[in-house]
Formats: sequence, C-alpha cells, structure tokens
Amino acid sequence: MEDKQAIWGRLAAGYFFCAALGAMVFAVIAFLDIISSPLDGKASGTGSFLGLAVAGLGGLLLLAELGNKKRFLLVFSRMQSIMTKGALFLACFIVLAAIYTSFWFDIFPWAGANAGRRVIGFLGIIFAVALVMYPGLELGEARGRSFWNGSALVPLWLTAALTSGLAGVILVAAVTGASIAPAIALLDKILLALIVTKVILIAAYIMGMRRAAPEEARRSVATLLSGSLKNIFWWGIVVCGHIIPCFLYFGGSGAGILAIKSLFVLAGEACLRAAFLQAGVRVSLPGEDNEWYQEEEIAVLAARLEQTWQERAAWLNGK
Amino acid sequence: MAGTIEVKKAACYFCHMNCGMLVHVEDGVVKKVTGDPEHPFNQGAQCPRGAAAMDHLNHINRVNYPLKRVGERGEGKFKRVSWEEALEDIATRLKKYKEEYGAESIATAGGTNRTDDWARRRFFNLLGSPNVVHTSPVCWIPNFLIETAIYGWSAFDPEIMGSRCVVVWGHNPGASYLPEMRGLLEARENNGTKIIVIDPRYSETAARADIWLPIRPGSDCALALAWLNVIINEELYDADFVENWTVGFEELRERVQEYTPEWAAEKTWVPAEKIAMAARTYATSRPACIQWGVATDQLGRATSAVAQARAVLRAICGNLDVPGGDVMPGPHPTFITDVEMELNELLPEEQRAKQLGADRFKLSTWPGYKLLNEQLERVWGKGLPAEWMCEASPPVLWRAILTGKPYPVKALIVLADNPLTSYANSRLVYEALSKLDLLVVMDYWLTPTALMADYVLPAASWLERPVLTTTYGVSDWLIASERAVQPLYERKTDYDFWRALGIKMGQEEYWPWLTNEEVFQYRLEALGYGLETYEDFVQGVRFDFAPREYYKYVEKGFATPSGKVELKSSILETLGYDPLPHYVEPPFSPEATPELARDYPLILIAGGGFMPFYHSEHRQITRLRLLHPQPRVAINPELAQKLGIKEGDWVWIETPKGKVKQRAKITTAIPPGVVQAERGWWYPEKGAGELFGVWESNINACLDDDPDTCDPACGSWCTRSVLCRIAKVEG
Amino acid sequence: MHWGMVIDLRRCVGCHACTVACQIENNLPLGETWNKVLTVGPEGDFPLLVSHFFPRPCMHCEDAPCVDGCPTGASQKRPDGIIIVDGERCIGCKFCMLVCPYGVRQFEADKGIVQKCHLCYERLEQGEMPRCVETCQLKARHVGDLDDPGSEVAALLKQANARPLYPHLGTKPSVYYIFP
Repeated sequence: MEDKQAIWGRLAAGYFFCAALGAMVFAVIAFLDIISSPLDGKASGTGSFLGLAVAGLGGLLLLAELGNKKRFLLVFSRMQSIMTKGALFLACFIVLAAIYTSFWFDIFPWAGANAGRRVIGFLGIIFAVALVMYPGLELGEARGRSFWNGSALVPLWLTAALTSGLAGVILVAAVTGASIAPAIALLDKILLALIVTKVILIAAYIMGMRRAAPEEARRSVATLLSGSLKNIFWWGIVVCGHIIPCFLYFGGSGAGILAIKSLFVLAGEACLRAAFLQAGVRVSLPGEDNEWYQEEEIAVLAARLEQTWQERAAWLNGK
Repeated sequence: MAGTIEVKKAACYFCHMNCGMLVHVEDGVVKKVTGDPEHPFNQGAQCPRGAAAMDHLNHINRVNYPLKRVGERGEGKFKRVSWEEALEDIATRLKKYKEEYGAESIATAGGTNRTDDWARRRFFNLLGSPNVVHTSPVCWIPNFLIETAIYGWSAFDPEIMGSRCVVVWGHNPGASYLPEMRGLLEARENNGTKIIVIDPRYSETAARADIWLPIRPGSDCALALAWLNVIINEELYDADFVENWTVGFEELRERVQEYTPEWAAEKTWVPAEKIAMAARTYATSRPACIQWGVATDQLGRATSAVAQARAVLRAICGNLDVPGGDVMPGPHPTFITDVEMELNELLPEEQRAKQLGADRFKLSTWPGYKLLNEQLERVWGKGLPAEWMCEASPPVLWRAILTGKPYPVKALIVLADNPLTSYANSRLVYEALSKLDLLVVMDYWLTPTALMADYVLPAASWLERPVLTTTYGVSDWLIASERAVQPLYERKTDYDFWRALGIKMGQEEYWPWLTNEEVFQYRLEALGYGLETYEDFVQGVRFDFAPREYYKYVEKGFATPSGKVELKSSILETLGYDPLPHYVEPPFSPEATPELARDYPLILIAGGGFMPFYHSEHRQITRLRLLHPQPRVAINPELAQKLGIKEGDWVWIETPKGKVKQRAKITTAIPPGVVQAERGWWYPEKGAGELFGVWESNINACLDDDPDTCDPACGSWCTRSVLCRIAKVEG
Repeated sequence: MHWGMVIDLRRCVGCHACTVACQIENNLPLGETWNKVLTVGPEGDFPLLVSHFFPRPCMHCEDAPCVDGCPTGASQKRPDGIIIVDGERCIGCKFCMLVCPYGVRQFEADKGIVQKCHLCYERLEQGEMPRCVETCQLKARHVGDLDDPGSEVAALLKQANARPLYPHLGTKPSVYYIFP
C-alpha cells in the first residue's frame, strides 16, 4: 500500500510550482500591460523576465525528472497525450514570454513597440493559462488515485497559480521599488481575496475527499491531516501559506511587509503542490496492507546483499 | 564442441520432492533451467527455488575448494588446500581416533536428501562405527517405524486421486510440497474429495480445507484417540477387515473407552461435536487416507503415541493398501535398494550395541531395527535401510561429545547439514562442536557450522550430480535423473567423497565404482532394461513404476510377527513400550509443566515450512531472500495489543533455554495463547565473528533436547509445543 | 485474437514461483518485480477465517491508461491485446506509472526507462506459455484467446466469480481472477 505517492517526487512538484509561478507572474504583468495600467517599465521587464526564468527553471526540473533525458524531444510525439500537450504549452509559453520580455529591453531594436508587445503578451497569456490548467487534468487522468480525480483540482490549482503569480509580481514590485504603483495596491487586495477563496477551496476539497467512496481518497486525506504529510499540510500550507499572510495585512503596505507576505504565500504554494502531489496515493491492491517493504527498500537491500557477497567472495578466495 | 546445445534431465534437490528439471546446457555451461513436463510430480512446473537454480549453481559465495582451518576453531580463518591433502589428513586422524578410542568415537551427521546416504553408511559400517545421525527422530522416521511395527511397512503412498477423504495432519503442502497440494485440490475438483486439515494454525492448506480442526499445539494424540473412540463405539470401522486381518481389537476397544470426544475437547480446544463429526466424515468416506505430516514427528515424548493411534485408525477403517487409501508400496523388488548397499552385516554386534541412545530409544536404533527387519525380510524379501531407520540419537551424541560418556566422541563428519540451526538446543550443539578434535563439513556454503570446521569441503549440487529418487530406498518405484554438468571448480559429490576417504582408510575393495553413474548403473542392472549406461537409462527409461498392486497382504500377509495388523503391537511390547494406543501429553505444556507455564505462559510452535526457503537453506540467494528478508513470528492481534507489540516490531521469544528475536507478524491465523516462530534463520550477510548471526533469530536456540523429554521409542525432541514468553525488543 | 489470462485464486498458494521465474526469464535487475504475489488476509476472528493470495501481473487493459497517457508512444497496445513498452522510445517520464491503477509498472533506474510484464509475447508467438503460467505448480494460471469461445480461458470465464480487478475503473483488463 502506498503511504505516499512517490513516483513523481520533488522535481515534479518543483516543476508544477515553478511553471505556475512563472506563467502567472508573466500573465499578470502582460495583463496589466494590455489594459494599459502597466507597472513601470523596469518592474514589468524584470517581472516578465523572472516569470520566463522561473518557468524555464521549471522546464529544467521537468527535464531532470526524466529517466532518459537525451530523448526528451520524443515528448512531443503524441498529441493525444496530455503530457505532450503540457510540454507543448510550456514550450510555446517560453518562446512567447521570451519575445514579450525582449520588448522591455532597449538592446533589442523592437523595444518599446507597444502594440506588438501587447499582441505577443496576449498570446502568452493564453499559453500561460493553459500551462497552469493542464496539470490538474493530467493528474486527473490517474484512475485509481481518486484524490486527484475530483473536478475541483483544476480550479484549485488555477487559483493557487494565480495566487502565486500575484505574490510573485508584488514581490518583484517591492524589490524593484515599484510597490507604490496603484496597481500594486489593487493586486494586494485581489491577493487577499484569492487567499480566502483558496482556504475555502482547500477545505471543500479535503472535506469532499474525506467523504468520497474510494478508500484511497480517504487515505489521502488522512495522510494530509494526520499522517506523514501533516507537517507540510498544517505548517506549510495552512500556517505559512494562509494564516501568516492574512495577519500580515494588518502590518500595512510597506515594501518590506509586501515582500515578506509574498514570500510566505509562495512558500505555502510550494507546499501545496508538494503535499497534493504526494497525497495522491493509489488504490490499494488486495493484500497490499500485508506488505512490509516498499520497492525502494527492497532495491537497497538487494544492493547491500550483493555487495556483501562480493566482499565475502574475496575473503573466501583468500584475497 | 562449440555450439553444442543439450537438454539434460536433472532432478532438483532443493527439497525431497525431487521435481524433474530440464537443463539447457550450451558448451558445458548451464544456460536455462525449466520444469520437465514429463515428470509426474511437477509436470513442468517449478517452485521459486527451482526457478532460481542457476543462482545457486553460480553464486559467488559457493565453497569451491577444500578449505583448512588456520585460526582458532570458529574464528573463520581458512586456507585453500588440495583434496589430496585434506583427505590424507582426515584419514590419518580418523585412524588415530579409531585406534585410541575405538571406531565409535567417530560420528557423522547428515542432512535431508541431497546425498546418497547409503554410501555414508557403507563407509561407517566398514569403519565400524554405529554413530550415524540425521534429524531422523523429528522427520518421518517415528511415523515410519511405528507403522512398520504395526503393519509391516509404512503406508506412505496415500492415493489421493482415488480417495473420498484426505486427512492432512500436521502438514502444510501448500507451503512445502506444492505438487502434493495440486493433487489435493485436483482431487476435490474432480472427485469431490473431502479435505480435513489438522493444524493449530490457519495455514495455506487449512485455508483450502473442507474441515479444519485447529487443535492446541501438540494435542494430536488426544484427537486421534477420540476419533478411535467415536469410530469404534459408533461401529464405523471396517468390521470384515478387523475380523480377518487384525489382532488386539477387543483390547483396543477397551482401551479407547476413556478417550471420549468430550475428554479430547478439553485437551485439543476443539469442540467435542466437531471432533466427532470429523471422525465420522473420515470413517464413512471410504476409501480415505491420512497423509504424513512432519509436525507430529516433533512432539517430544508424545511423538510415537500419535503415530500409533493414527496407524490404528488407518487399519480399522479398512484403508490399508486399498485403491484410494493408504497404499503400502514395499521395497522395489529388483532394484538394488539402499539397504543392500549399506553392508550392515559387516558392523559387528558389539559395535551395534554401542550405538548412542540404543539403550533407551529402542525402536529407532539397532534393537528395533533388528526386530523389524526380521519380519520385513520374511515378507518383502528385503528390509529397511539403516540410514534414517537405525541411527544414533543426536541429543545423546552431543552429550557424549561434551562429557565423554558413555565413551569419548572425537570426530564428526557433517554433510548437507547445518546442526547449529537444525537441531534443538543450539547452544549445546555449539559447545559440542567446539569440543570436537576433528570437525569436517561438506557443504555448498560456509554455514555457521562450517565456520567451526577443521575442513570445509566443496559439495556438488544437483545440477552437478545424478540423482536417483527412491524415497530413501523404501518405495517400489524410482526415478533416475542425470547431471547437467560436471561439478564446477573442485566440488565433489558425497559419493566421490566417501569413496575417496574410504580408499584412504583401506576400504578400496568395497568401492569398485568410479562414479555415481557407475554405481547407479550397477544398482539398476537387475531391472532388466538391458541398457549399457546410466545415461541411457535416464534418456530411455527414467521412470520405473512397478505396476500398482493393492491388497498385497492377502497373499503375503502383513510383515508382523502375527502376519496381521497388530492393533496391539507385539514388537512394541517386546521393546518395552505400551502396545496399545494411549495418551501422552507433550513434555512442555500448561498441563505437563504448570510451574514453567507461570513464567512462560505462551505455547510456541517452533517451525512450519514457508516459501521461499527450505529448512535453513537459500538465505544467500538474493532473489529469494528479497521475497522474505527477515524472520517472522506470528502473534494474534489480541495478544499483541496486550503486550504493546505492533506489526513488524522485533520481538524477543524467550524460553528457559534461550532467547532470540524475530519480527512480529500480527495475524489471526493463530489463537491468542500461541505464537509461531520461523525456523532455520541465520544471516549469511553478517560477520563470521558472530557465526553469521546464528544466535539472533535461530529458534532452535530456544528448544530443549533433554533426552528425558524425548520420545521413548524414537528419541524425537519437541518443537511444536514449547512454552515461551515474548516481549517487544526495546531500543 | 485477444490474449488474456485467468488466475484461479482458489489454487494459488502464494509460493512466488511466478515472481521468480518471471524475473529470470526477463533478466530483470534484482529487486524489480513484474509479477508480485500478495497475501490477502486472513480476515476474521480465529478460527472463522478467510484468506487467499493475489498474483498481480500487468492487466493488459483494453482501455489502458498507460497507453493513453504515454507522450512518446513507447507504451503500445499490440493488435493481440498485449500492452508492451518500447524501451527505445521511453523517456522515463513515469506518467504511465502514475496512471496505472494496478501499480504494475517498474522504473529501471540504470536504463532510465519504465518496464513491465509483457505476457511473454515472444514465447506466445513461438507457441510457448508465458513463463509464469509454465512454472505454476498449482496450475492456477491459464492463458488463451479471450475472443475464442472454445478456448480454455473462455470456459473458465463462464465460471461464477471470474472478474477482473477493479472493473469500476473502466480499464477493461484482460486478466481475470476466479475468486475463492
């Protein structure tokens, strides 16, 4: 019986987090740009570059997760696969985000061409949204991991992505000194709304799964609330990601507070990805509760025994 | 010859079953081992051990050359020597002990199968020592000998396919004899055969039973006697057979009156009504058979009483030697059987008298053997082999080594055996082995026992040797199998070893056959197939099953002094034992030892086969070990809760003899007052300094083998009903 | 042609021969298991108990989530119903492992690819049984053409209690179990 989902581990969680953060930072910046309420150029340029960089880092994490990295281009082979779609969204997003970002830097001759930038930004937003939506559908394809099968995973992850995007933009603004822009104050309010929404979504999700028929969904909830994931859930998601940021709203809107708040929100988002990914345990097979050893333990034991036989062989033959 | 691919017909030695194997050999190298579809037992299948045969053949930790001890005994320091040097030194020392202390100062311990035991006995008879042991007192032999005393051979060939009811008694073929288990299930599917399983534990076989009788461990005798009571009082027995072919029925009737189902219910923990119902099912579903199970050979002083009651059950229900019943094969008529190879006649009477334990365990030693064989030779033309059926007592042997009484024992030759894990009271065995002047171990591996040896000799395994399956020389059929390859490195077969050592000891004229094949061919010639070589026999004949004859007693009579089934056994009476079935409580139980039970309140079952291992073997076959890396002790959830033990916890199992640890398997398969520990555990991956962890989990270290607790007729020690306590290992 | 397997749980005694024979036949790294055997129970209070064993090969689903999800086409369904992995195309993304509800897929770290039971299709093509079927001492496993009403497996399927594992997941396995 799986006590955690361990097939996709930290690298995958990191990818989901980075892709969502990068894509939504970009989307917020491009959106403000399109509705003609831009942050100043420095913040937008830095922000969209960071969005691109973070999403790119996510792509690298995804690549690192592959068992056979040399063949990564094959990931684009089968359009029917949600994995292929996701990879395509990521690739397109990165290309568009790169072009968009270049508009903010004077070294490129086309810098400052607003209309072109906004068109590219708009296209980028479409792929950014696709990029944050597909993981929910992807995990939802895992029949037998009912914790991910609910229709609520996509909105939850979308909200979470948007939250991290806003937090990311606010962080960039705070660091680049653009936090006084009126848009930021508005974003800060939206962020609070999103945090509250997310609390409701997570609670509803967990409660729904707790009452769900499949045993593994209930097992997932138990793991999160009181099992091996309880620390990351209560301290990481609930406290860092939600309670502390809410309290920080009482601390005013100074750049320092905004930056700290954003960091807590981002930490909470990272925990959310990691916890929900690990909580997606597989339906147990008949008798799996009688198993004593996880596959990894068996592999370790095999290596240890073989090593001992090697040493013993040398000893037996007097070497 | 480059590119030669041959398919050799070998037989597996990873348990007694001797399943047929096809070995694909390319240029003298084994490439693949599969089950032989033509073989009647396994029909093309393999168990996990058989499937992993090549891992065993090629394991880098096999002993490949003779090793001589160079450090202190047990220190694990050896140097490689030549066979010539090893044999020369061993022979010189054996001659010296014989001269100084008498031949009886030299003993040998053997293992279960894997060897040609007659060769060992031949060597020892020529040497003049009667001190040959196996674990025979706890494996089949008590049942075989008691049955032979009562009806002149063991009815060990139950014809399950034609049977209407099979009693599986203290036996779990579902984890040990898989082809037998298949036979059981097929019999039920095809013929509606009822399966009654008697086992304290919900075993793989009990889980498939029609009737499962979960008796208190060790109370088998009470159950058998209550069955006799029900069957006799309700007149469910075969009156014709009893009338014409038995003696002592009236005394039996009288004797069993006290053993009512109500009386047995208290002893066995099984309700009286259920006991009676099962007895009626067995007696009225004729033909029926009772399969042999090893558990009832391991009940200490209660052992032969169980066998006796059960033998009488078979007889009065008219199941002996009938189609679908308990068939008595008798010896093969033309094949030169083991007993005819042993040269027992060359062991002088005064040496026979010195056999250790012969003064008290009279059925399993020379006194009983002589009485039995007189009858067997009269009726069957040949008797039982002395190997297994006439052996010194291991507990008495260990004590003789330690104390020098009744005489000194200086040397022990061990083959295919790991006494530190396979005999009870492992600490005492250890002390005995430590005290020897010469310990020679022939094995596949450096076992804990081999670590203590003066010489470790490399043994050929079944892929490297021909195998002749004859059920220890007591069946009327045989199966011949060939070696797939010549022994690798300097490994040898046990025959090669005894022959070479025999020649060094001046026995040359008795060892005319150069190889295993030559001697097998010699033994097979009288079968009349007219084949030139043993290999021709394997390729051309392989299976020699005598035409099945039933009711052989009608012509021959039973091989007992009266010529009938002796429900009241004159042979047992002559030897000084109770001739009629009677109740014996095992030596350790709340009833037998209430004082002990106060401190050790739980009943321990120390044993029971489990996959993928066989006895103490195969722990170093990585692939198999990964299936079952650590030992498990079965504990009922109720008991576990009371003691604060959780699934997988390490648990101490403690008796007055010692304590070892195994991991808790919390299961309702056993009742709360009982725990069951796995046997045979040692850890080849652990250091030689700690004897490969032989004291950590080896349950035999917790068992007692005090001869006073052993079976009075056969010397069986008790493993299946022991008192213990358990506690979680802290820290 | 649709290869399928029927496993008679009334027969299986959990000896692990299929597990081991499969590892050797397919030359698997130590510790990798395509054909696990699980112990179910005993359930109930002593002595009223039930238990059985549960061998778990690949289910060779007709509607295979692993094939659906594979981004490279390495996981494929053959025309005869057998699901295979083309080791040359696998990038080791492990998505198939995530979506397989039966946990049959194994990641081979040294090659960086995912592998699993392929019903010994090469043996089947040569007229031999899969190794696990051949080695089963209890004859608990049966392989044959599910499309052929005259086949042994089809006959066994007509018996009561023959059903696949977790049919509600909609994967339509080609492996059926006769439950005790």
